[in-house]
Amino acid sequence: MNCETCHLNELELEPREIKDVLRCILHTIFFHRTLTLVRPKDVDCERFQITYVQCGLPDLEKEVDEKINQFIAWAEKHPNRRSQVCLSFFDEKNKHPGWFSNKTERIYWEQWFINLHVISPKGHGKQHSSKAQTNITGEASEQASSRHDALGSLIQEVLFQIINYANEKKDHIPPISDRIFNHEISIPR
Amino acid sequence: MAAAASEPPMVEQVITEFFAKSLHIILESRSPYESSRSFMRPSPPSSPLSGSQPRDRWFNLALRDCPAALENFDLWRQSNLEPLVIDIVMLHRDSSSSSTAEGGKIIERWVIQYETSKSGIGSSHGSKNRKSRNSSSEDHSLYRRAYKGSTLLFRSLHLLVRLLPAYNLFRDLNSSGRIRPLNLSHKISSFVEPFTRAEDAGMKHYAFVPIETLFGHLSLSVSYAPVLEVVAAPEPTRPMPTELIPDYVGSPTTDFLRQFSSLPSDGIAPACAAMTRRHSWSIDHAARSSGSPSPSSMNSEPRGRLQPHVLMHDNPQTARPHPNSTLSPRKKKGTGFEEYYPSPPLSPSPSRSPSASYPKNPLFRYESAPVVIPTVRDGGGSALPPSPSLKGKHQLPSQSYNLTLSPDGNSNVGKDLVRFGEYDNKKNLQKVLSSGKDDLGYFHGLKFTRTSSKLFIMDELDERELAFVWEDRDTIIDQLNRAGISDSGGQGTNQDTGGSMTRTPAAAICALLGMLKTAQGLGESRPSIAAPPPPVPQESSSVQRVMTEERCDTTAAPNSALLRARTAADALEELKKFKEIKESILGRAKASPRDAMEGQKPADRDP
Repeated sequence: MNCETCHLNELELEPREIKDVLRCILHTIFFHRTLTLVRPKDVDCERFQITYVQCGLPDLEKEVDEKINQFIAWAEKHPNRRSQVCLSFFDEKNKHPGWFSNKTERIYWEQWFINLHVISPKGHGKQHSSKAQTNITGEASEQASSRHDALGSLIQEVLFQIINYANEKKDHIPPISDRIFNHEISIPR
Repeated sequence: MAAAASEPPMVEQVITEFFAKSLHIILESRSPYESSRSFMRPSPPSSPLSGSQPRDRWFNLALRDCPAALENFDLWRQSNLEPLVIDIVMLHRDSSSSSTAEGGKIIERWVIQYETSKSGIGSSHGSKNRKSRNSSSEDHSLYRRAYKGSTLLFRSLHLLVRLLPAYNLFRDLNSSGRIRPLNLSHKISSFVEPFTRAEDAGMKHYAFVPIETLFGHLSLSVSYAPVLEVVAAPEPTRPMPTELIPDYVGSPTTDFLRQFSSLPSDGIAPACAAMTRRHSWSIDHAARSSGSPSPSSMNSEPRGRLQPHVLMHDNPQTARPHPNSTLSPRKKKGTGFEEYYPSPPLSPSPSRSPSASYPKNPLFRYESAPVVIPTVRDGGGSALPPSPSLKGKHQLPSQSYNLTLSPDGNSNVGKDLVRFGEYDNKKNLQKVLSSGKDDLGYFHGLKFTRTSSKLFIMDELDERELAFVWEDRDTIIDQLNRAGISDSGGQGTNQDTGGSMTRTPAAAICALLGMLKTAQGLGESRPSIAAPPPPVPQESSSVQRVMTEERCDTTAAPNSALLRARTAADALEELKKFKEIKESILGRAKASPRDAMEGQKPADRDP
């Protein structure tokens, strides 16, 4: 079985936006790939005026938040860098089935690559002088607002991208079971 | 419900439930009033055709209560071959047309249909081969495939309906019961009315990947208006939202005393109910305009939300709502007031006439100034009232109070004293007691003196007595001297001297001794006076020095003994002086043996 991959559109965002963006994207993917019985939970992302859906599984939410926090910590140490957060789904099989061997092998059947470019707010421009500070501040706020609006649109595009990809290819997905698929969230180190 | 090509029963069931689930998901996010009304209703029993699984759990997607439109879905749905067309209509309330879906604008059209096709999975097998194949296992396989595909599709559908622009309007209508100029309605039919050219030109389309079945496929598509062009009609008068005044009841961020000023009276202990007085600061507090933000800026958002969208792409799969086209008003975080009830509840302000409110206590003298009456428990309860210069700043109501003395002599205010409530009484007390400065505070007739971290309370004393007590010791000695010296011919009895009344210096000494012995103890009725230790600490005020020395070892018996000890100490000093005088007199009296003999007798008896 081949591993299907999906590279989502790159998003340029500030550190304070990482949590909302990653939550939105990761939970959307999980919602599409959690085929057990779920009671969907609507989440309003106030920052970007987007409503996305979660599976309503507390353990999953906790796991996602932990990984997001780790990524935020990494991003603080490596500012202004492009990075990827990878969500992988896999099956575990015994490598050498036997009585005394417990080695398992991971067989990835799907990977989602979330491309992010975390930019530092200071990189938008420096305030050179106090006289022009007010003008620069006004322009900076307008730029920030337009950037923020653009990011919201890009996030919606990414969500549509997930919808398209999740529906186009289904044969590689394992049969529905009573447990969520094995998965891992990889962040850069 | 029968299909032209007979699908396996399980697949047929999937097809039937596919229609129902699609309708459920769409109406759940497009029919505001139905959703809100039926939110608390239990899910209807599953359709007899749906099998054992409840209808709301089909495709592993447990939804909320089924909208009303689904109740009779199985009855009017004739065949799975008929498409299911759901039109979402936006209505203007100010239009002359009725509120039905006929007079509105279709902003979304969902089309769910099952189409038989030759491209189906079973088409390649042909009808002849159906009998030969293992229908059971293949049916199960087909069923699982169709079911999984439908499950994935509905995950996407559930998200898609929330990404389209109409969801914003739905949220706005659903979250508020106000009269809005717009309304959402839906129309369900089994045939597709073609759009006009103009309508079709303004619509975007999105279609899910069809679900393959044995002899056909299930398809779901949507045509939607990417831009909701709404003329912002003036909204009718709307009731103002309930505004909460955070400061009215005193949030923790406000001044502490203001919290008490805004406490409701019914939350107060009955004893304090009558003690209400408006302070200047409480008046200002009440008059201050409250400006808590409304839970949602719903007045301005609807207009902004329905501004024309700006298309960024022609890609039908993408929809880019206008930045201002926000979702329905978000719930803001608690800006409401937080009730603050100190423990125990206190009246908001003290009374100006404590005498009228407080029960009379013989131990206390009531004064006119309202003061804070703290509680002191085990020596560390509450703060003392401030000095008279500061009492205007901290004024709290007071209840009846009682003063009791602990066996060790420290004065403790009883449990009936009004407490500061949540104010850190212990901290205040420590501050007061650790000030180290001599301060005189007034406590409804009680005079507090604080010296060297000790608190003494004097009660039931006449002013004259107090004045007498607080006079300088030297002054007392002078007075005694004057009394002893001037009264050279005065009457005086001294049993030690045999009652002789002589005007000689020795007689004067004896008379003085007699006076001292018979003199009334200073503050004899004061229970708080205790025996002083031999070394007397030097204080700026003799009275405070005296008070510092006082300790109550016992409640009653040692008082007189202490007085006697104190007077004896003074007397001793006096006697020392007179000893000197006596020596001088004896020197003079050597010439007179009789005088010397008489003077020796009292001298022998000197301690």
